[in-house]
Amino acid sequence: MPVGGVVVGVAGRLRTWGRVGAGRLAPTVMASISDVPRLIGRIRDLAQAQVRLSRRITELEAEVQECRRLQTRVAEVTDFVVEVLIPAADRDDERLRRALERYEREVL
Amino acid sequence: MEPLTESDRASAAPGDFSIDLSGIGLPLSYDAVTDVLCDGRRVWSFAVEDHPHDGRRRRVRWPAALRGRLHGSSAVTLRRHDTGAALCHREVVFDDLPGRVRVVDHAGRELVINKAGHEAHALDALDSDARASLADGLASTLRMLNESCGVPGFLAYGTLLGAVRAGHFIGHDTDMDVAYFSDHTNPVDVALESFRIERTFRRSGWRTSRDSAGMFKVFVTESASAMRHVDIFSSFCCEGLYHLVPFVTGALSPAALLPLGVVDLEGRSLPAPADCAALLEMTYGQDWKVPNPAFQYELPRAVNRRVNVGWFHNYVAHRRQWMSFYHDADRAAVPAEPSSFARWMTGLEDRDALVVDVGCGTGRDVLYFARDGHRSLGLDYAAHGFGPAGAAAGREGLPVSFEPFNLCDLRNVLAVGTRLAHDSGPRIVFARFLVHALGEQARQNLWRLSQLALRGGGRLYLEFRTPRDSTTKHAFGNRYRNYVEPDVVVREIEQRGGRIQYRTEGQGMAPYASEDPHVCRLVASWSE
Repeated sequence: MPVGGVVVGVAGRLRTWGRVGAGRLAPTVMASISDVPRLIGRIRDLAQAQVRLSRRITELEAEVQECRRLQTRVAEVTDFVVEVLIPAADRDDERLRRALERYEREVL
Repeated sequence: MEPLTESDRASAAPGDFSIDLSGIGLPLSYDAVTDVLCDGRRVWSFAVEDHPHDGRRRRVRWPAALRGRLHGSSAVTLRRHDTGAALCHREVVFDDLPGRVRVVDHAGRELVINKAGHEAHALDALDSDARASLADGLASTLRMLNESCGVPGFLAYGTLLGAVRAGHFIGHDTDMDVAYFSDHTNPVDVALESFRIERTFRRSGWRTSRDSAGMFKVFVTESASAMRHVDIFSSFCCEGLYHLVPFVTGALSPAALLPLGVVDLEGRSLPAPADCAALLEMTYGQDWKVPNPAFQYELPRAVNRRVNVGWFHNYVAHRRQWMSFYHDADRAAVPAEPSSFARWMTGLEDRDALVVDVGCGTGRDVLYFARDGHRSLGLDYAAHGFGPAGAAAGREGLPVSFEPFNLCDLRNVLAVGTRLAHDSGPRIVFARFLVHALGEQARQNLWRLSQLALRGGGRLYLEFRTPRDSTTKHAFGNRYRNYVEPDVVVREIEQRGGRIQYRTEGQGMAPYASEDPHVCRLVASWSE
């Protein structure tokens, strides 16, 4: 075996003994170190989830506002229907004209 | 930072304050709410902590509305608002112009700059007759609410604060506020009730004006030549929270409001919440007893989104800007002659059509259409703009009418649209430089109006600034402009059943002074 191969073999054994020794002396530290790649992956997932959630909150806020804005719209349409269209339901043009005139006088 | 003691505050000497055209310089040791007086009259108040400092001194810039009036000279006094103690008093020469600084309106009535930075007529400038007249108007307003409208109405906001603290209007206040407590718990019903109450006032001969679906104003007599408004706010409970439009949301039991009590104001006993202190603390915080003319509501984002942006749509977006525009010198800069777009349109249409100019501004094009042989109708939500044109039309006997019209209010759009739909004969809807001045909802309402008005025939003429105009310098400065791509406008019109008959874009069509805006012209129709 060339000298280089001997050195590599020794170094490999030393690393193994070191890992086994450290595992016996400080088992939780070694377990945590071996967990690092998994934890890094988890952090990456959480960061992506945060971006997704933040985007989703923005969307939900817009959807809530969309619903809230309907309140005024429904009130406006209801007001017009009750004050103008219902009186005009008998298709009496004169009555519609009067209802409209009165509505505009009182709204605008 | 350590809180300042009274002795720290008292240590500020007159020489520590500087006053010039750029603003007021203050020592950092001074932190009280401060009144600014010009020739002995209060014109503005500010809270020191609202203004920046460089670590050594604080710099208070003049609000734009006051800065524009600082010409000539004035004896300027800085005064602590809470104690009335003068901090410094000196003659200040603001520029080379002769005369004294005058903060008055076009009729010579004294103005102050209010906490929002706007010009206003403060109640402390009124004589006793005017104050009595306003108190009577306020009492009539509350009688209308309680007796004719059937809702429990009471003093609110600054008017309640003044009554509880001293039995008088607050001197720096500029309007009067009342509210009523609604039985309804759904914002739709609360809005409908507010519409109904406004109608009751109108039917009884009152002049009113609506700011949102949850608030309107009535006008009462101040003197033979002046009116002042009373704001009427809706209040109600919804999902366990009490809401007083537009600023107050919190956990307040109806028992804090009803049954109504009374409070004295200017010698009159007026309806008030059962527990005034509870409502005032919720409105102004624990320090509500300490006078503060610079007080600003710190409206939580959630409350603003829910109540003001969400439930109760704002009907007066950007109107104040336009009202100011028509009051100040900018108005004179608007040409009296018709726009080139108006001339172009009349070259294409027969003379017997009714031309409806939406967003007519000063009404110059409306007058031109009438002089050219059309019947014409000018519509705008800033009615001050078309006042002189209406008078001119009357003098000339032109077939013209002008009406206040608000594209933000769907009721207004449906009413006018239906009327126009019933008007026999050809008609044109004309809107020059309007599309880019509208928010999204108001723009949709413009298409609704056009659809209603033109379903029996006629054409819609539009000229508006395109997004390519957004980076150029404008002759009238930076106003609200909501640039919309012409493709979007075309799509919205087509989605509502309209058909585009003509489209062009570019410069050279609407030049004014040094400005040559990039505009789009569109002609559309709805009839078969």
